Amino acid sequence: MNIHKFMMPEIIFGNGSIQQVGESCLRLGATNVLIVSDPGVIAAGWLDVVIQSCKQAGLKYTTFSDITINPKDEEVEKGCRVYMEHECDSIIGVGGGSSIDVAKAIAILATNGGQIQSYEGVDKIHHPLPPQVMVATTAGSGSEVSQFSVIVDTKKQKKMTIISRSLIPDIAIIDPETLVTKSAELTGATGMDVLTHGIEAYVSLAATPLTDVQAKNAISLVAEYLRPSVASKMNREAKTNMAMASLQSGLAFSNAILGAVHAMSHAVGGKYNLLHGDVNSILLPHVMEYNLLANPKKFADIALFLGMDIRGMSHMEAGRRAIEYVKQLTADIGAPQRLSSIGVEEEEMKKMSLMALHDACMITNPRDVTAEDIEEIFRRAW
Amino acid sequence: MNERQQMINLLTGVQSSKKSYYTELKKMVAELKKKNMQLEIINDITKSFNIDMSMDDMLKNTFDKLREIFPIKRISLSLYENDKLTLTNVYPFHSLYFPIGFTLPKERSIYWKVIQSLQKLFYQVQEKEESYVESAVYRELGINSVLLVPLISKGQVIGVLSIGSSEIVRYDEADLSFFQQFGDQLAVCIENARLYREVLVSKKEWEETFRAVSEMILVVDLEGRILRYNDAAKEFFQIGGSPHTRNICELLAIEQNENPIMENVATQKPVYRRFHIQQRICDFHSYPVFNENQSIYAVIIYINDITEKLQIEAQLVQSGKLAAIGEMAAGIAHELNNPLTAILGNAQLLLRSFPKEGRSSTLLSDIYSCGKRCKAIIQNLLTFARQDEYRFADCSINDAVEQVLGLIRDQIQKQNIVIQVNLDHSVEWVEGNLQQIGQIVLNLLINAKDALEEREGAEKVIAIETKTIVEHGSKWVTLSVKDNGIGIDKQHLQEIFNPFFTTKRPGKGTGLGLSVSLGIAQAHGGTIEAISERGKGSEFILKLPAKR
Repeated sequence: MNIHKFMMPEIIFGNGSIQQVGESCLRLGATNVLIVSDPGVIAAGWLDVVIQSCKQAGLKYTTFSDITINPKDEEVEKGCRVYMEHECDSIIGVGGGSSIDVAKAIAILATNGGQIQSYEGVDKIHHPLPPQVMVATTAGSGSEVSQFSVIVDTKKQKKMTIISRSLIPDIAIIDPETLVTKSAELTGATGMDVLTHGIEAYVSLAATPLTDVQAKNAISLVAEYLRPSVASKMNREAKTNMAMASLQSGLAFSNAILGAVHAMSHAVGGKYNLLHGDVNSILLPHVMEYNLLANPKKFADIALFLGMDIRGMSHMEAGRRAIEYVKQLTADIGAPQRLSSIGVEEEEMKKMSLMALHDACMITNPRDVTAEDIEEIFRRAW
Repeated sequence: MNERQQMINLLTGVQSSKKSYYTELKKMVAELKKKNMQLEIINDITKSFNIDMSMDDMLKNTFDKLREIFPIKRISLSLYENDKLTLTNVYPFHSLYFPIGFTLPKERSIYWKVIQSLQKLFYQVQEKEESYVESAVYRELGINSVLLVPLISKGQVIGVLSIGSSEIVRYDEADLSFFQQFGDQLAVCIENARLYREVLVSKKEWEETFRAVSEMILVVDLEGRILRYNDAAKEFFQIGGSPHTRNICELLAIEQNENPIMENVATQKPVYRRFHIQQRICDFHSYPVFNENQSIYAVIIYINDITEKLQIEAQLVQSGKLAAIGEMAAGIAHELNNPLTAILGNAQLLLRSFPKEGRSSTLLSDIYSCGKRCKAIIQNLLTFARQDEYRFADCSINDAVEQVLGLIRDQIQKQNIVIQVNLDHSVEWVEGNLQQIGQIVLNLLINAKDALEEREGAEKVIAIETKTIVEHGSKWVTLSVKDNGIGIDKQHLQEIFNPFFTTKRPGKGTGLGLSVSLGIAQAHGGTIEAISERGKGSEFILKLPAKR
């Protein structure tokens, strides 16, 4: 590929940067903000911080937080009604991937109208969205910098991926301090998600030198800081570095897109209400095994980024070591390792395989895939 | 693989960018501008009917506005009536090929196609194409695409609007629906203008009719205020300035409680009265006018001045009567003349044979003189009865008086009435008809006698006087007949000259005497004046211009 494109929002990174949210909105011309969050964010107290910041900036605001882990089309529609009823003119998303994806989806409906289903796919958005400021309080989703929004279609029981340049937020705020409130389980799951983003982006068919840099940094940071971050809420250095890892993996996958892990985990997520990070971390080593053949050099690079000594090893060998590393990391942080252990049923696999085959993320997967291949990977991970 | 690469390009967005509000805004502003302009055009059309703008001006106006949103070059309007399609307006004016008023042939006409199909039609002009007569027109005028819109008003097609452009314009759904709306509005406008003109013409016709009627017509409201009036009414009543301040009661010189309009309101029916207005006799008809709710809101008044008609009628009656009397008198006179000649001749012969101083001679003399008087009376009767000869000649008013007195002096004196005759023997001559003037004198004397007849006690006197007077620099001959009879009521004094007006008992008077007399006096260029006081007597003065 000769022509590259790299896109990102304005990024505000650092401890205490969450205080900037009100001012940031004001700069974008907002007067009446819809703040989208979820019960977890409210419990952690971050919504209050955001509200305070908005008040200080003299903004009117309305809050919406009827959101579940895998956000649904109904929740988006409900949020949009709140936006319309209160005549909002801008959106703040506070939280992890769910809040931010819903915030984006509400933004789509606010100016484009209709049903969220009609925007599934690539470049279906025709009118500009209202100003969006996203505050990421979980390291992992990368949604605050990406051009993606993933929403569950409740009728079809499937995750819809909406991809559009317009979904890139205007301003992304990453405050590592927000990570201290996360549980060890959530820290682990989101951390594995960051790693998955980094690895998938790095081996993606759409990877470019610009995304490679981001992916490489993300992978190295996860290898170094995920364990200590899971271990202690008080380790600020680990939290800050995991936040940076999340940001960089987000920038990488937003521009290089993902691969089979995400395609498959979208299929699982559509059916089961599971932590995205958990599903990813279970599938990741199995997909890496399958994909190794497609680009042994890149997998060898990954082993290097993970801090392994691969001197004298063939690319394939180094790649296998990387896979082992990932498995070990999962075990170390106590994340689930089998689909069966988190409740995925065997009889659903055929259906999920077909669904995954048609997921947009599958397009950039380095190795060609068939439905049977996917089913085989599912079985290995089960 | 190529397809996959394309998908990857799509995903990474090499060929797409974040949507910009600036461009969105620009697009929206442009759309709003277009919408606004369209609204303005529709609005203009709706308004222009009210201000009665000509179709040419209207097309020019809309053309200028349309040009700001569509690249159009020419707009033309053809109207369909009586199965004929005629080119009526074109803008710009110079973009003519067929002349205005050109009738489009039914064959091979795209305009006709639109009229028949009632559908909008977009036509792209092809080179060297001759399927329609209009094709050549468009090529000649440099028009490459045309939008044709049928004009439909109340379900009827009334014409076709052609919007030509030098470009191949791409009209979208919204544009087409605008043009349909534009066409519909225009159709309504054209139809309204046509109806308006029709109403205007018929209104004008009615107004002209109203004005042209020689009888007086007024429209008044229920208070009697004058709303409208025709020329005849204006002239008769001298209405000018602001007629609304004038009231019908004031014009008719009646009291409010005699107002006939009140009767209209009460009965909801037409009312007829006869009024004496300004010494004229008028027939008065009033017709109530109802609104949709069947309640009266105005009254149409129709007034006919019948004074002249009545006078003529009176004269006809009088002269008919006189003619009958004359004929009879002539017959009787003729029949009496022979026996009288015999009586007079024989009395004369006998007188000669009798001594002068004897009783017989006295008796015979009486017979003779009475016979003579009879002959004179017959002679007078014959002269008077010859009414058909109204030749004007120099005559003396004194002669008329003498002649009439010769006829009725005895009759008057028998009623113990003293006749004082004071004739000016040097009175000027008048040019007129002695018999007619005599008729006036006769009427005046009969009236004086009748007035005295009803009076009791005191000496009854009729004074007759003739003289010459000078008034306004010219000479007049006057005859005054004065009595000391019962006199005339003030309220009747205005009416005594009206035909058929009488205060005498039925069978006694016809109400014609004075009106006929006045008619004769006026025919001679003179008048009759009446002065009277109830209980004291009356004086009638006949004034005739003296002969120069």
